[in-house]
Amino acid sequence: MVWSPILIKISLLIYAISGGFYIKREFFSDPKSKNHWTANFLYVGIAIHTFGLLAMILETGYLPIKNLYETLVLLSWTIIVIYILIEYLYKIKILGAFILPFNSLLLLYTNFLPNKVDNLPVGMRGIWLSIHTSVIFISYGVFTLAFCVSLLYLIQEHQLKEKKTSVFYYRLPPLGKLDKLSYRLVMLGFPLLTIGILTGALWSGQILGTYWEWNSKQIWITLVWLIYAVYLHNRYSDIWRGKKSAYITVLGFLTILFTYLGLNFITKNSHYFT
Amino acid sequence: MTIITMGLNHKTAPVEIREQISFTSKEKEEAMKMINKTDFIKEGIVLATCNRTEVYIVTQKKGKGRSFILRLLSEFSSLTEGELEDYLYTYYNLEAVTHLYQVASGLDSMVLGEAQILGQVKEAFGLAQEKETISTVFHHLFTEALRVGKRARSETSINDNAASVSYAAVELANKIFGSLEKEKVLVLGAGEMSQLTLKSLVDHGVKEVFVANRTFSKAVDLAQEFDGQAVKWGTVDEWLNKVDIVISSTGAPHYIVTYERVEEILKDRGSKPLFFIDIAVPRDIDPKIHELNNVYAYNIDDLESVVDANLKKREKAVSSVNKIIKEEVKAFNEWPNSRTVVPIIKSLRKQAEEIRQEELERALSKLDDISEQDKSVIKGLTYKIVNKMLHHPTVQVKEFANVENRSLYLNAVNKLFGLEKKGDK
Repeated sequence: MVWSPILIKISLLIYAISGGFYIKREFFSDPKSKNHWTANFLYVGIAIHTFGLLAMILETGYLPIKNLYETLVLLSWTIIVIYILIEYLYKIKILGAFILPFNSLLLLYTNFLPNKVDNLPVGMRGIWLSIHTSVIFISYGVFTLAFCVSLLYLIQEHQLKEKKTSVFYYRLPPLGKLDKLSYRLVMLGFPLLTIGILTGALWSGQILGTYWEWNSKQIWITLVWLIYAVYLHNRYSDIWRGKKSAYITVLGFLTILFTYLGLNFITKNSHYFT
Repeated sequence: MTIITMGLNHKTAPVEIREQISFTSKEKEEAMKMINKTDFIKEGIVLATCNRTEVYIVTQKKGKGRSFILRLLSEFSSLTEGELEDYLYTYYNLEAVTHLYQVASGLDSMVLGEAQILGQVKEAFGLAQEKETISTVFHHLFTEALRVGKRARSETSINDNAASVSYAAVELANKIFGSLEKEKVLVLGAGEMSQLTLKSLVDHGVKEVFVANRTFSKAVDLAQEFDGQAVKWGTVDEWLNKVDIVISSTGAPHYIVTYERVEEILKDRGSKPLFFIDIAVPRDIDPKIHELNNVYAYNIDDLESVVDANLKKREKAVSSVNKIIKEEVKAFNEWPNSRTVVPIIKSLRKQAEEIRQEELERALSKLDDISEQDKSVIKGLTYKIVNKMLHHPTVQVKEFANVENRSLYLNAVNKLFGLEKKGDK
């Protein structure tokens, strides 16, 4: 019996329901109303998601990096785990009202993807491939969160500029806090992305004989890398902060989205496993 | 026994009337003496603040109690009883309890949810304790009222979000910077509004303060108050460069901070936000600067509309507070009943404990050569039997406290366990 698809579907259901709870709590109820069981419900979802991922690894005998289905499951897992850490460390629960629906959509998408347990040819396996793919996806997860945080920043900035006192004004965290958080996230994601790219090249050199061939995937990932490099440089030297920085992380995220998902639609895939 | 409260507040009486019966602390003490002297008044408290004057009493005579409060209020004001009557409200028993809980929660305050009233209730309670004008009922009621007031503020947002212009400025600064500990403030003009806003900012963590005023000595005075630094009026432009928050409330007829000046500052500033609070009329700060990136300029009207929005937000919490109050009033209503069952439970437990010890000793004396471990097993056994046997009766007796014909049930319990006879001995 193949367990992983069932477990993933259950976790999808839990994320969707929790997302509803988060939206209700953050936007429609008294901010001081007590947290009840719904808060723990999400943990159950994450646990099931984790088991689903482990089941997938046991079923295929390799990391979940072999097709779009698997990588989406891995990516959404990374996002939710990092989110929970942020919720715990920074107490920004409103982020969940954005992340949970997003994550549910990602997982929902996997339902329509082919999921053959096609095993990776043994000849292509290698330590560099495992590191390359998993690290890249962790960095994608981190950048997704940076994107969401920046989105919150832009919404709150808009409230303050328009002098509006809508629900966002009351519920969103201060600009300074959001700006710092997205900076920290990019600082975390960038080295991961760099390691991911380098190990990918190493693997390619080992298995395919060429380190870098400038195919479309490689061109786009270089663009992503450059965007975040520019962000970090300007943020570090205090040239950009706040709104401009926020726009850059949004741009970076959109570029990732295109690199990861969009390229499949327009080019014949030259990268092995999306 | 009847609880009565009677009084007037900002909703029922205009300030001309309120100021005539606002008790001074000496008058309060005299009123306390009157309460103590009057036989049919068992307990009494005077709660007098600038927006309300209320007297709470416990009495066995409802009608006489009411006229006692009326006389007391009239005696300590220049109004006759007839004149006063138009402005007064009276509540009895649970309605009085509800009213006190609403007062303590800030629902009855001019600024909805404000927390000062809680301190004032506490003070009135303290004075009554000191003068011994209260006993069991009000001791319980006012302790509960203070707890309800705290509960309302911690479990609902009735006291959240700034309700004054100066706090609204702090709230906005917090929304922009996150924390104010590292932000520097420049104050232009040493007027009262600047001082108030500055105080709120300092209360919320601002450490570095600079004050500029046309009359330098005034700047020095204000700066000293907040451990700040006074700067010369002529150097204001330079200082604008070095700070994060600017409060302005001068009497100048024209803009002091111009668009061009701020645009220039931004060139060397990086992109750290800059927040201008303009509380002067006519305005001191060119409102156009709000359009600049990372610059926020709020004037007095903006702050007031934030306050308005905040108060509307508080109004939304009223229903949650009322829910808490309803719950607490119900608990208060059950309190005297549970008071009657506590002694029964106590004597029930006491009786069982006595039997247990007696029988345990007797049994142990018959068993010579058993180890300490065996002894403790036997001991534990007796405990367990007694506790298990008494668990259900205890729960039931507590339940009986709130049923209609409780005395019948409680008598039955007394008879069943032979509690009264023991008590008689």
